[in-house]
Amino acid sequence: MITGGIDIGMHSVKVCLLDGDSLRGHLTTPCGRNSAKTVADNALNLCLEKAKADRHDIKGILCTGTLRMELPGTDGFVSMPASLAKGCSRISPKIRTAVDMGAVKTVAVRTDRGRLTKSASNDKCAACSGMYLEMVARILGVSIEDMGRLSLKSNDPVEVSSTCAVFAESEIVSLINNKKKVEDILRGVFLALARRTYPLLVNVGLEKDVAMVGGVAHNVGVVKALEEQVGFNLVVPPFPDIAGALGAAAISQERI
Amino acid sequence: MVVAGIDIGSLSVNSVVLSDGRIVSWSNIRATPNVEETAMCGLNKAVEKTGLSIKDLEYVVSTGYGREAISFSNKHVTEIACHARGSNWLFPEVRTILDMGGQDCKAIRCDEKGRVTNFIMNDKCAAGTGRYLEMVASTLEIPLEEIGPLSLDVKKEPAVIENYCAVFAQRDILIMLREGKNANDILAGVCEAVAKRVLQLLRRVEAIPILSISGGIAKNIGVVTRIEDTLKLKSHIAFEPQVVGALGAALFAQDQLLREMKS
Repeated sequence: MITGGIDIGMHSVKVCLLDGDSLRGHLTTPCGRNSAKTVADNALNLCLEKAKADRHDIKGILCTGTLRMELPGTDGFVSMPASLAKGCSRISPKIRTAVDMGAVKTVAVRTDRGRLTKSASNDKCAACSGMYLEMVARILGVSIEDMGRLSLKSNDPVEVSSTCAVFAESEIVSLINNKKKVEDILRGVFLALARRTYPLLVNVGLEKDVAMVGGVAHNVGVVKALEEQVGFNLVVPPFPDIAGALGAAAISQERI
Repeated sequence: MVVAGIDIGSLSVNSVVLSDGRIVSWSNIRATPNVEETAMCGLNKAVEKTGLSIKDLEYVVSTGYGREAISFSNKHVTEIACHARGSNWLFPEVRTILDMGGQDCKAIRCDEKGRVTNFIMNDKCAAGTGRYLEMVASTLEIPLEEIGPLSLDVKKEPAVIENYCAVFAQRDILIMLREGKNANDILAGVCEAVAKRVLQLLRRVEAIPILSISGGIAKNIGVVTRIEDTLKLKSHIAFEPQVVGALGAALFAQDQLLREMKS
């Protein structure tokens, strides 16, 4: 029995097809300028094609994510924290705490065998978001994909004192003018980001194993900084961005 | 007796020259990353207009974000004290000062002599600062000076900017533009949002009349009108609201010089 999960975020749509315990297919596509519905439809069709399955094979499909309400026609909606809690425990049953860092929102959840027990999020301020990292990449002239790896070369991280992303932009420009190395600036930015994310994890209660998911989990520099902040290694699944979609598909499976 | 005050802000550098207790000239230039050079250039610009040179200045007080970074000032004073002093000198009846600068916003209470009695400051977040308005101006591709007047020319309801954060608000504005929202309605929403942020500061400092507004945003009629409408009062705004801090610094320079001459 195949079920689907769609996670519609501010930046990208994630689709996941689940067949029992096996992942039949998954896909992440940027939203761009198209409406959430168009992007989600296309992504679902592509994913079905890749999984060599038909729309009729899907027995249930649930939608999650910030813009989930823009997608009518699915079997229902499920909150992002609930999907994350479920998705992360599907990734590994040992996971008790997870942090999801997306383009706009950072969510921390506690999960008890897939059931959400506590969550905390920040969506008021860009200081803990993927958009902040995009801004940093743009002014430093590095790619989003490379910035994490580059930061690992740093020996002398800078101090980034601004919390606000807008102020950090001017701070980084003056750091560049002061001839600071790109890797040291990046490392400084990631350490500051980790410091700001940590309270969210503490808020939900930090119980091992702790997973890091969401688009920002692809960034090894942020993962390393957060690991140093919590004092132990984090679990980063191979496809960190689909944790929410996976959870939605799993919840759909259980409902049937 | 010729003295000067220089206010080195995050986005602008302002100078005021006082001669025997009267403002003889002032300047307002854009800040650059090279603090010392910009400060010198700004001060020079003000001094030149008087026919004097920097050597003729008997005392210089610096204030603002970069006040400690320059070598040619005799003393530095916080911009909070300077704004209170400058506003009090211009408008002796003023008891609350709202200074909205490029990168921070302060609500200051002062006594009849212009001494600070209380203040609250936001310098952590760009919401409600000049940087926020600059970002809006560049997103909508209009000059910064036009935000205020255009925001008062609202066709329909002002757009509601739900996000507090400047980065997220920029995204919201782009989405609204794509949806075909009128730019003036968006500007009205932006000015409303900025006014709302600073009103929170005024409430927390327990603002009392009479109010004066200084700093770059005081030039934005859209924000000023909305603050005045909410508080149901008129505010005092200087001839050049961006030089009030520098004026305060120059007044402190004059005090200091008089004190040194006496002793």
